[in-house]
Amino acid sequence: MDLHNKNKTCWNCPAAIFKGNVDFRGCGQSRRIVPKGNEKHIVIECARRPELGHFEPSITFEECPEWIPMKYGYMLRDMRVMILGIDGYLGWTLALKLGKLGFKVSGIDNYTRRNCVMEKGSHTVVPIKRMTERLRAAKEVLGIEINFRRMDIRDREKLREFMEEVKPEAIVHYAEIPAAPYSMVDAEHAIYVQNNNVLGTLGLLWVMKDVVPSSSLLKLGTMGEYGSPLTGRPLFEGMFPADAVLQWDNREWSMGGELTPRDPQSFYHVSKVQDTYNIYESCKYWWLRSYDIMQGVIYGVHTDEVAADERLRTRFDYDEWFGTVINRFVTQAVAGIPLTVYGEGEQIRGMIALEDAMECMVRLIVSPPEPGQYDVVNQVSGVHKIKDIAETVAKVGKEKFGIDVKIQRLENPRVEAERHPLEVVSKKLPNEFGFRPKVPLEKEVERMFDLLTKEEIKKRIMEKIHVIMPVTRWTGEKKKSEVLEIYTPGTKKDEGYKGRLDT
Amino acid sequence: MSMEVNEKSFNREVIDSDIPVFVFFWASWCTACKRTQEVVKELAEEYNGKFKICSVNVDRNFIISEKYNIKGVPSFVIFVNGKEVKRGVGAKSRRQLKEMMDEFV
Repeated sequence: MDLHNKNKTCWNCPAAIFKGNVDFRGCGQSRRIVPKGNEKHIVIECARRPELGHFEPSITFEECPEWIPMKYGYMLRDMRVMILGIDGYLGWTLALKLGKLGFKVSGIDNYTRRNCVMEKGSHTVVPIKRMTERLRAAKEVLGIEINFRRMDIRDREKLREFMEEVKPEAIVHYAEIPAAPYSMVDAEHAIYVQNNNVLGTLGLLWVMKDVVPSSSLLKLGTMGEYGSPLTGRPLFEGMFPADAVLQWDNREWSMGGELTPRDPQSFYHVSKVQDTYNIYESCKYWWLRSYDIMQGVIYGVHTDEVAADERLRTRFDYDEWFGTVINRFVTQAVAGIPLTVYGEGEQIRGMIALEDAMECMVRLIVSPPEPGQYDVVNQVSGVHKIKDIAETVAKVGKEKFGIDVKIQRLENPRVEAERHPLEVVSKKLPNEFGFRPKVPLEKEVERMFDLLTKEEIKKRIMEKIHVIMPVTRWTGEKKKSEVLEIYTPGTKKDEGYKGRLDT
Repeated sequence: MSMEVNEKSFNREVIDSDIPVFVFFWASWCTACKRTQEVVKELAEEYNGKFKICSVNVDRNFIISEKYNIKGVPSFVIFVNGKEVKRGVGAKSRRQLKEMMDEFV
């Protein structure tokens, strides 16, 4: 079988314990002390098979009996994965997927997301159970045991104890508050978001250094870190490609490998940018290893695991703070509210369906970076214009569900370019990790309509209908956006820039 | 093709080579190195037969790195008949790397 990670070696394996002269220094520093004696070279001991003694770290995943083939690549047998933020939209979905594949899943959460949504007077439209019941259902329906602890990621002592107990071989970090508008409500919210996200991640890095330095960190970033440069410069995967050149004053320099400029669009996005730098530095200082995952705007409700039982469903938010754009549009259509496009609606964004995003995560988990390697992937399966998304949702709603809905353009509560080029580079997931998107936009939108038009769910939408129209402005004012225009789908001309995805 | 060499194979592959050798010193924590790996692979194809392309990981092969006084990565060193003839330090574009190599083709 030709699996994407077959040529990875012990250098990538979290079970490899480095022995001998392990002395790694930051770029540009020379080694002034040359060790004497026999321990000059780096060798490893395998944590899974200590009886093998010390050997050169050159065994490939394909050759190693501890790495077994499955559909998303070779997988370390019973690989221990800890999900931080396991109660969330993504965390819970990934926990079930990994558990079903045979990973040993553990996780933490302090229910921040539930609390934030409740604080804003909203609720998840797809009802979710309390954690104890979720865990019981996962065991009953899917046969999965999840080792859960309730804790705040910022409680480093508790986190350290749990890490020491579990010794995770990969850590998925979803324990952040993922909401641009929530971070723009007022000073208190902005500080809360940055405190939780930035300090939570910084503390995690110190705990990892001490307890599990060879575990890989899969950190959720966002495409919003990059912004949408009006020059049309492609959004590379975190770093400039090798032959990018800076020209100035009739001289030139290579930019290859330099972090690309970030242009975050809210205080939430700023927190993600700061995480990027903290993780990048910790990889350099301590030889941690990380994939920073710049995920496009996520949407959808379906994976086979969450759909297996009502008690296993993941949350689905539709309020102006936590609802993502496509999820909001489908909810609005079901509620009979014209779809809320901000400003011109010419904004272009990279996007990905829940099911595809989860597959990407599994592929990344089983293909860990090398020691010290900080790398970035753009996790995007399509590039869409907001106005076009509204058209697609309206079309699926009308053709498949008989729902007639209009589109409304609102005064934009955000400070953002409304008309801009966008070229997204997403070459690594398809070319290095074997990912092919499987979920077309229309298909997931249809699945969403299917679920959200159920009577009990429609009732929940209507219960909190007041959370749909935006009142949080980037200026700090609380004010409803004026309606600029209401139009019938299919009546607008295709104009402006076209998005582009380089795979 | 490009090959990863280590302390055991360095003399055989680099010093004793009949054709010029382009040695790319890299480290896994160096983002410029990771990006440059892709270009180095392409150059190996392009200069097939004219140049041998070798990579050395400085952390895994620090005796060679010490011997050749590698003070920063990426470093690019060209060897002809076992002797160092040219060196570049810091990330380079494809064009800049080709300029280094073309002197010895």
